[in-house]
Amino acid sequence: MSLLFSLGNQPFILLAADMKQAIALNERDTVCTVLDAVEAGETIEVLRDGQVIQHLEVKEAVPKYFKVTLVAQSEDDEVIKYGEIIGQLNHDVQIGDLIHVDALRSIKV
Amino acid sequence: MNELVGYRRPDGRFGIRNYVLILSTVGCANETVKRIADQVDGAVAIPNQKGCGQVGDSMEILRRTMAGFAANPNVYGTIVVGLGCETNKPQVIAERIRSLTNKPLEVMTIQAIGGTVKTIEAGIKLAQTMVAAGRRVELSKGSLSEITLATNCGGSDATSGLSPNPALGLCSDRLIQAGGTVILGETTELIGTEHILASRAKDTATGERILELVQGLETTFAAMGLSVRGANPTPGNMAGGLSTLEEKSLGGISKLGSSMINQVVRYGEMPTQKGAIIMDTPGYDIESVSAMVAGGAQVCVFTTGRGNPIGNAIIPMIKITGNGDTAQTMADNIDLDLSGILNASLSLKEGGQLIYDRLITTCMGELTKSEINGFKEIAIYRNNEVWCCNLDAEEV
Repeated sequence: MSLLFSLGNQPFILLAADMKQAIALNERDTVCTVLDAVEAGETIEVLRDGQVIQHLEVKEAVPKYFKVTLVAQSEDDEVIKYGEIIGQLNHDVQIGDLIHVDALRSIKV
Repeated sequence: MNELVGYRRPDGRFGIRNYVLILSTVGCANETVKRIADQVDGAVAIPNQKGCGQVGDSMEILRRTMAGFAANPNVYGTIVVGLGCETNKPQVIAERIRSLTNKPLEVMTIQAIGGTVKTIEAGIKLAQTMVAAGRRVELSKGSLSEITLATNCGGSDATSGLSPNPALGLCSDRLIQAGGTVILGETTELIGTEHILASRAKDTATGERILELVQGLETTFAAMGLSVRGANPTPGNMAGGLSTLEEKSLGGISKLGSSMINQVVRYGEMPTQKGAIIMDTPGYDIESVSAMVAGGAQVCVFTTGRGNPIGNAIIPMIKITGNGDTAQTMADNIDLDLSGILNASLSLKEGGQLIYDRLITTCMGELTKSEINGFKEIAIYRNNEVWCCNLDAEEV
């Protein structure tokens, strides 16, 4: 993506990096997996089957291949990935929050 | 194209490699076994992690698995080497092998022969004769319906469930459609998915066996006061983005594909059914793959996120990853890079085709990185190991 504008009499080209991407495999998923490290405040595009289904602003730094929530949820709500429950939340979350071992607890073990 | 070329064994099974095993019955015979194999190209050493001072069903697991190694179709013949006084008697192993296969078999005992130097010399001569005979076996036709594929994941991260595992599942579907067999193991990594797997079982009894397998393991851990969570997901899994065991498991079971599940077998046990099979194996990869080798698998596709270099003494290990960084940094240990699936430059279907093609060329003789590197890991799982009172043990 690039923008052409002028500053004074000089033309300027501002090159913006392509938006970072995340994947959500199943339509029931409440989280997506980022394909690149993302900084707090960055907007990412969420893909399913190669189609963009959502954009969201990431609330905190997210390492590559970690998960970000697609929906706001409350403590003890179930987190869904691959269309199935992968755990329960330890606290409330807003869209764009990082979901990893502090936020998510296993139900099975 | 379902036709392959390989080795037809006298017991009717079809192999894609042609090894002579030097099979140790006990740790005390390992150095002897290693030296015999080192001196004979085509012979491979199978050391024993124990073989003595083992009690209970761990001895049965040991015997079943060792016999399975010898019966594996990639093996032309076996020389069993023991000490003479061990719990795991060489003659009992030989009888167990004979119950599974009529392939060439010799037994040597260090104490009877009179020491290691004489045993090594006699072993080298026996192995040379056996390897030479094995090399005279003419290549024969076989088919994909005779192939059993071992599947395993190691060093998983969040990419594993998003690309290589589902792509492998598509390959598994095709192999099963061609009449072949695919084994899924690592019982701790089925936890959280047992209801899904049970719903795909061919009948109620098999479905119940799946539930029994997974719930039985959870109960055993609880009874021992251990947390499965302590070991699984591993630190590497978590650093790679996996948060819970269920998440790891769900990403893992896709390796088996979507077929009906026909049987649940014990560690190292040969299935009597074809198609999709579940085997009870530990999450520790070397022991897990070794069990499937004993179950008759001639080849393994092994998915990894963080990068895993292991091979196997008896079967080729095809390493695949969906993590582009790993495919580059550990190129020496990776056979197939499927990271294109994550940036949509490769579809899951194309990924599945790449794995399937690589499976066939490997069966036809193409070497994997682990074979080129000469890596021959093999190990048998042991349970019931309580020999020390563990003074001053700390809580982990």
